[in-house]
Parts: sequence; C-alpha cells; structure tokens
Amino acid sequence: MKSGPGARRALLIRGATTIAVVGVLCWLPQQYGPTETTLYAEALFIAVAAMGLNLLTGYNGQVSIGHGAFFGLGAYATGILMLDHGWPFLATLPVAAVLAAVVGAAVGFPALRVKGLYLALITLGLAALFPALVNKFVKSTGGTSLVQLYRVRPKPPEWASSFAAAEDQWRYYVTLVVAGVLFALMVNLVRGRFGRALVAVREHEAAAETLGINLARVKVSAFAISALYAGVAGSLAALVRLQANAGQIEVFQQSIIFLVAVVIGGTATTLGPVVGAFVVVLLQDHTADLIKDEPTLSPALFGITLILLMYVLPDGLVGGCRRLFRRIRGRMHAGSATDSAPT
Amino acid sequence: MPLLEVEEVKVEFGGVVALDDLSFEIEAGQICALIGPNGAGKTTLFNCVSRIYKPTAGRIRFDGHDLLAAAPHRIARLGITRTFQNLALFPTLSVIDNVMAGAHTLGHLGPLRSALRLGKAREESRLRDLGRRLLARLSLDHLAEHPAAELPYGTLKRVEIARALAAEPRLLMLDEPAAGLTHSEVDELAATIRSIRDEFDLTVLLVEHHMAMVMGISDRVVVLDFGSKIAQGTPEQVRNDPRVIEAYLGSPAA
Ligand SMILES: Nc1ncnc2c1ncn2[C@@H]1O[C@H](COP(=O)(O)OP(=O)(O)O)[C@@H](O)[C@H]1O
Ligand SMILES: [Mg+2]
Repeated sequence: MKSGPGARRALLIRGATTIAVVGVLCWLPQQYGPTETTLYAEALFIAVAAMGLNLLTGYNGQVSIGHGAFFGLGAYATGILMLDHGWPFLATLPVAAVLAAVVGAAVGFPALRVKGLYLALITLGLAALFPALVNKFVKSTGGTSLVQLYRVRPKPPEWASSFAAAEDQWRYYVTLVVAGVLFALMVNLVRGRFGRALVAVREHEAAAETLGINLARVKVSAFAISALYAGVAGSLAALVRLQANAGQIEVFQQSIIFLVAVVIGGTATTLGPVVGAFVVVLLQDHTADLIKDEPTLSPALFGITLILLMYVLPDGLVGGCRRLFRRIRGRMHAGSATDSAPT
Repeated sequence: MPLLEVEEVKVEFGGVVALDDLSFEIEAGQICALIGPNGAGKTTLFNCVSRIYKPTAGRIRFDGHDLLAAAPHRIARLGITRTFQNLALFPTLSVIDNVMAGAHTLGHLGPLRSALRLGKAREESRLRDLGRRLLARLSLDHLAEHPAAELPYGTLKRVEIARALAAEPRLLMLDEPAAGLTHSEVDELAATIRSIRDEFDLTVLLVEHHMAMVMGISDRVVVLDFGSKIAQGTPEQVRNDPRVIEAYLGSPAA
C-alpha cells in the first residue's frame, strides 16, 4: 500500500510482532496446566466477541451492551446441536454464526432510528430478553435451561496427540485457530472501503451520506457482522466451558465484559480487543485470587484497577502505545511532515 | 437543457420560511454563485439538493432526474457532491483516507469480499492512486498520511474539496469555501476553483460572502434575501442592482 523505508520498517515490525504473538499463543498450553489453559481459551473467545463489538462500537460508533445475547445464542445453537442432534462441534460453528448474524441484522434495523444512550438501552433490553426466551424454550434434563456438553465433548484426534493430547489443550487450539482466522478477516475488513465507510458514518453521518455511503446498509451490516462474531464466540464458549447457560446476570455481565475488553484494549484498533480480552480475563482471575477470604471485594478491586487503567490510558492499551510510538517517532524527525501546507 | 433546475422550492422550519418559492437554473459548465446575507437560505438550498432537508414544496431536477425522489445516498452517484460551511471531515481518518472515503461510489467491495481479500488490493490501489492525484492537484500530497484533525483550517478546506472531487462529480457545491482563509489563500482558491472546473468538466454552485472572489470567477450570480430570489444575472448586472445593494446595506455580510 504505502511505500518507502518507513513503511518497510513498519511492515517488518508488524511481521515480527505477529510471529511473536502467534508463537506465545501456541506455546501457552504446553507450558501451563488445564486450569490456566482453559482460562486462556476463555480469553480467546472473549477476544472474538470483543473484536465483533469493536467493529460496531469502536469503528461504527453504535454502542451495544447487549452482545451477551448474541453470544448466548451462539452458545445455545452449538450446545443444542451437539447434545440433541449429535453434531460435531465444527459443524455447529457456521450455524451459530449465521443465526447470530441474522438476529443481529434484525436488531440493527430498529437501531437505525436511535443513537447513543437510547441505542444502549435497546441493546440492554436485548440482554434482558434473551434469558427469558431461553428459559421459556429450552428445557434440558432436570428442567433447567442449562445445556451440559460434558457427555458429548470432542476428543483430541490422533494426529494432534503430539501437541494436544489433553482435551483442554485440544479445545484451546480449536479456539485459537478460529479466533486467528476471525482476526485476519477482521483486519482485512476494517482496512478498505467498508472500514472507511464505518468510520465515516461514526464521525459525520451527513457528510458520509453525501459521499454516497448508504447509512442504513453500513449500520445494519456492522450489526450483523458484529453479532456474527459474538455468536461464534458463544459457540467457542460452549466448547471451552462444556455448557451453555443464560442466567440474567451472566448475559448482562458477559455484555459488559466485552465492552470493557474493547475499551481497555483500545477502541477502533485491530489488536485492542484481543489485548483487552486477555487483560480483563487475567485481571479478573488475579483479583479473585488476591483476596480469597473476601470474595465480595474482588469485583471492587477489579473495577478500581479498570478505572486506574482508563485514567492512565484513556484511549486504551493499544491506543496509548500507538500514541507513545508516534511521539517518539515525531521527536526523531521533528517537523518533517506535519508543517502546514505551502501557501 | 440546464444541468440543475430548482423550481419553486419552499422550506419551512416551524414558522420560519427558509426558502420561499425559490427557482433558478444552472447551465452545465458554469460557475454559479449563490449569495445573500446570513440566514438568507443558501445552506438550506444545498441541504435540499443533498437531500438532508426535505422541501415542503417544489421540485429539484438534475440532468433530468427528480432529485427529491432519490435516496440521499444516491445523490453522489448521480453526480453531485459538496463541501460544508462548517468543516465536515472525518477527523480520525488520514487525509488520504478522507479522500478515499470520498471515492466510495467508485469502489465496489462490500464487507465479505473485503474480508476475504477478493479484489481488495486492486481496488485499494486504484482508489489510493486517485486520492493521491487529487491531493497532488490541491498541493496536499505531503499531508496524505496525516490525520485530518490538527491540520490548519485553510488546509482542511482544501482537503474537503479534494474529498468532494473524489466521487468524480459533475456538479460541485461549495458552501463558503473562502471563509476563514487568508488573502493569499482566497486568491489561490479562486484560481483553483476555475482550473478544476475546466480540468474536471465541472459545474460549480458556489455560496460565498467574499465578493471580490464571487465577482471574479462567477458566470452567473443568484441573490437571495430572506429565502427569496431578489436578483440574478451576470456579476456586472447583479452588482448594480438596487435591490441587491439595499439587501446588503440593510444587513451587512462578509
Ligand atoms: N435545521 C434547521 N432548523 C431550524 N431552522 C433552520 C435550520 N436550518 C436553517 N434554518 C433557518 O433557515 C434560515 C436560513 O438558514 P441558512 O440556509 O443556514 O442561511 P445561510 O446559509 O444563507 O446563511 C435561517 O433563518 C436559519 O435559522
Ligand atoms: Mg450558510
């Protein structure tokens, strides 16, 4: 795209970072036991949901605090197909994806009429409605709406025995591959005509429209794609947790976790949601460990840490790093490109 | 046949009549200025053509198309783009991305093909080349990768013109492009408007308070006051029209 030595160096840095990150992510389950491996798998599927929410909220400026519903939808699609219909996990993934995308588009249409806080409220309603629907329509053994997949859990295949002999390892790697593919697709998506349209709509709707951007189509597409990511994340969650659940609190909490991951990592950056997801999951885990005998204090500690982080890095971890990097580079060749135009 | 025909357009906001049965036409290839004191309804007319506002009555036709029947996002495809009185750039996008966003109608890739990189590299390089050419044309090429926020006002005004040109319009509407510019910048802008008109085969509808510039580059001038047309003609005719002089003395603009 761009040329010149600066661009080549940027490409080199990007390549090296990618290799390092992929290397570490592949190595994690080799180093750690089942508990940690599952925790990291959890961070991965939360990263997927956060990527989707970032497309909608970060790039397109539509706030949703209801993505826990799309997540739950994906989890139940996978759960029910595996348990009641004997489907293999991977076959359930596209179903979860399409289902969530369709519902996402259906929510996106009424969302065209509202913005900001009102949109947030509508999506909050979605998060509240979803558990009620599940409780009405899903009846598992025992009469609850909890779908347990322990009995039908996938076993690691023979060919993977050298690196994923344990089930938790296998589930982690499946999650990693799906998350990796979705990450690559997302990077392509936001860099290009559609990505520019997303940001244009967020930053100036009227101007975007006079340039020929179809506001309704862009916004509904953003909703659908974003829901698709959340649905896939839910599907992966069913695999990793071996259950699908839709408690009122859980769905709401999940929605907030996605949003926190996006904001902590850095909105409208490609890497932000991934970084944010790992920070949130690990932070939650550590704060829970820190004060074992006072379990009520750990959410408070978690919250305070988040507030501190946002205070230090208002544009998130990735946004903050990028700003720092720009400043250093700007100081190195000060004033070369940022002078005002010749008059 | 005129390129743009505005017929008896009326716009009301509550009790305020912003445009009162306004009619005028622009011939293809002309630079037509729309002038009048603040609040005369000039921006309101732009917003009607852009389909941001819906007139209470009247018709607007462009090259035979009924604009009021077209969806707002179709206007750029029909060949009309504009700049805004108060800048309406996308501040976090780079200058080149702003211009490439302006070329939205020249691209085809939706989210799916973009995600799968089907034809993406080719489309991106085509739009980027177009953007670079426009930036070079407006002496902005050295700022291509700079975020649009933080640039000087006069520069941003030119970025917005580059963005409006990116859709390859036939009618370019400029809402007070000289406002806030220095003297030398105004002269340069006047020359730029003339030369891009010739180079890109444009018709220009210009709203401007800077009278020297208006009189210098316009083929025709339409004068509005309180939403009504009070005069039209060549710059020479309009300059000497007693009603125009009165409107401007009554409420000094510029
Ligand atoms: N969105 C709006 N709501 C209410 N009144 C408006 C709106 N837009 C314009 N007006 C009114 O219409 C009149 C014409 O405004 P405008 O077209 O901006 O004038 P100009 O561009 O000639 O200075 C003014 O009285 C203005 O207050
Ligand atoms: Mg105006």
